Amino acid sequence: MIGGIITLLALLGFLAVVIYVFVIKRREDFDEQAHQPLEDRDPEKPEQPDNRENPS
Amino acid sequence: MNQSQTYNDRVVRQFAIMTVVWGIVGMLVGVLIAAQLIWPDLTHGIAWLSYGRLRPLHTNAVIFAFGGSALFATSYYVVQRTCQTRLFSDALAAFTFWGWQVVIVGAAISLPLGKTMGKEYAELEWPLALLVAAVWVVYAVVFFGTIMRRKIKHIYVANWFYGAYILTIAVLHIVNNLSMPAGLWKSYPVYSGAVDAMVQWWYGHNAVGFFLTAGFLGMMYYFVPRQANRPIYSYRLSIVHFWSLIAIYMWAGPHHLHYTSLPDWAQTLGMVFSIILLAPSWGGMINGVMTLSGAWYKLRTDPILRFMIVALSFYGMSTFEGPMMSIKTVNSLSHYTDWTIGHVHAGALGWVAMISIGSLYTLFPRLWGVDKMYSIKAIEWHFWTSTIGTVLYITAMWAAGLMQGLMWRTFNDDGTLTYTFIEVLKRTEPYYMLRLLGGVIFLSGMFFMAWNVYKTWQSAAGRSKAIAIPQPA
Amino acid sequence: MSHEAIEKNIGLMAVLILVVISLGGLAQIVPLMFRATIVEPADGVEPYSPIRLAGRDVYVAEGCYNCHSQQIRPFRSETERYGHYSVAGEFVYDRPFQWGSKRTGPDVARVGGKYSDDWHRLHLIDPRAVVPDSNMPAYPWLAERMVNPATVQRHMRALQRLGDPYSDADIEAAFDQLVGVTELEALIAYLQGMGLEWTGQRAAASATAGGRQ
Repeated sequence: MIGGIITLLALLGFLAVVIYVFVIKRREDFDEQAHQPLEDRDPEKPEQPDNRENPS
Repeated sequence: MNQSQTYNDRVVRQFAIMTVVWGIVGMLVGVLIAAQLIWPDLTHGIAWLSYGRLRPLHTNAVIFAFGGSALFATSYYVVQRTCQTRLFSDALAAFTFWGWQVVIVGAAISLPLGKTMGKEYAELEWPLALLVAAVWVVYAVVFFGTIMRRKIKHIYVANWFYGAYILTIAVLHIVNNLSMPAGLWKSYPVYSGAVDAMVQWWYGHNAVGFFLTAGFLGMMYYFVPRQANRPIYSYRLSIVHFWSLIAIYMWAGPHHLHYTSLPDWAQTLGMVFSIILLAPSWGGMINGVMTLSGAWYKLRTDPILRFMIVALSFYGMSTFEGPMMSIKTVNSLSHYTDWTIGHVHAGALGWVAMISIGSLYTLFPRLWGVDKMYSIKAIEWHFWTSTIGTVLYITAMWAAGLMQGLMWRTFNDDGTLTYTFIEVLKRTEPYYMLRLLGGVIFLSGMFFMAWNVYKTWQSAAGRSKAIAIPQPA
Repeated sequence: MSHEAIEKNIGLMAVLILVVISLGGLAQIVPLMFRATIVEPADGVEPYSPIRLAGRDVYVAEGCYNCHSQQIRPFRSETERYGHYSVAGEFVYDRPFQWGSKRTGPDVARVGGKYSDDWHRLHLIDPRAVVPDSNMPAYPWLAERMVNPATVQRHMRALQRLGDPYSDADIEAAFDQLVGVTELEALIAYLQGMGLEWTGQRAAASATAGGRQ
């Protein structure tokens, strides 16, 4: 019984994360965040990040 | 320039250098104990060099000294860069560095003296365990304090992984080390027997899950995109796999206790969650590897990236192997054998060490203000020694483990056991030779690294300067 | 977004992480603490005598658990080799538990009485004198080191505080039992008692034997 409830809650939690990430939030919302590691560049040597065709 | 306008890279440099030093020390002890299994009288009569005392030193040194230093160095670097702010407190950061070094030196003295809690990967006696807890709390203050001061709206996903690793290790370490001191260097756990076993493997498994996995995934989520100069393949996937990974890992501990006196329901729970764990684990691997999709050519020219991609491949392989070994019938064969040792090293050498080494090669030039490491050739050599060493090691242990498991359960027609224990051990010896060779080859690569780091430091002499934090436009 | 809201975010994330990671441990560890079969001694199982406790401390300190398990699984291949499979009630006085995770050497959960004291003495000082292909380290120093009776008494008091049923008289009497005992003798005493206490294993064995007749 308790096991079933925990499993159900875990499943709902997982679905909530999936729905939030893939349905509610748009791809563009994540683009800025995904580029954060690439922003630490030496200002004297600008190199362009190479971001062809990644889904997000 | 005002200090608050620059990054604190001093503590990052300190931890990064000690990663190389402790890596060599820890692996050297590993090579020594691998040799002792073949030549047991190698250190005859020297109590503090005996196998039973050195093996905990080896595991503690590679996990907490080598791996820990790599995690401290990269987490302090990544949190500053992705939050565009200086560390919360220089003094507290310095305390974590010196405190951690004291813990390591304390371990290197107390473990060979036989001062041990006697629980795997949690051997340090209570005075050192207390110091670990103190350093860890300060680490959490520095890390989360830095995030709270961030100048960027969002918290980059690498910091989530680092954050989860820091919080969870604090919980695990404290709960598993609750004990009653019986002297300055002796204590007894508050748990006993089967409860102690469950607590210990809840700790042990999640030390793997959070120290050796979540922490290094944090490293991966920053340094793979950085080195590839491309954003992570799917930011969405990273969020889903983060929450699934940390939720599921915590349930998988009992797979270390299959068929023991632990109740059956706990074993089954552990098995089921271990199998589910494959999905979020591979989520991380796929996300890392696919970051290179469309830019595979970079692997041909960049040995650092190759380190990272091979690390991810070993991660994928050992997180497939792990769930398989947690299936009870498979475990009945693999448990207690060298297969487990092989599995651990696929993760420890292939994943943890190689992702750390790759990340450090990305990090060192930036820390010293030079373009790249002194010798790319030496990185190539290091890459091949690491890869070949790991493959030799794990295949030797797989073969040894399978053979041991099968021979132990072989019966004659009349229902008696076919092999004595010692006959099986004798047959293992050639595999122990092969394992020793693999270990020596892997260790040799670390010397290329040490030399390369030294030369890079030399070539950078005087050029390393505090790096300015970008100011909002 | 205001600065305050951002702070709340990282706080919220930390709380969420803590909640998510706590469930597994709570669900798996806490119920065990209330299970009689897990936390109560099996029939015949007593707290370690002072000399065996001293020997167990040597076992832990020398890291024997790195190569020897103390947990026999319920398979015929294991019970044939090592004896009756282990039950939880045999380990309630084991702090720490020493089930181990690797058998470079054989399981020792029921090694008690299988070899003579002399065999153990020879074997611990020079394993290859009695088992030529063994790769066990030699422990010559154990024969030269004396057990400190006062230290063992201190250890017993710590265990008493944790709830192990040692009486003050037990602790008092321990001193005299340990004068002049070497670590080697203590370790052998520990090993020679391994797995013998639980009376249930013999009942099970004779019931099976009776059933066959």
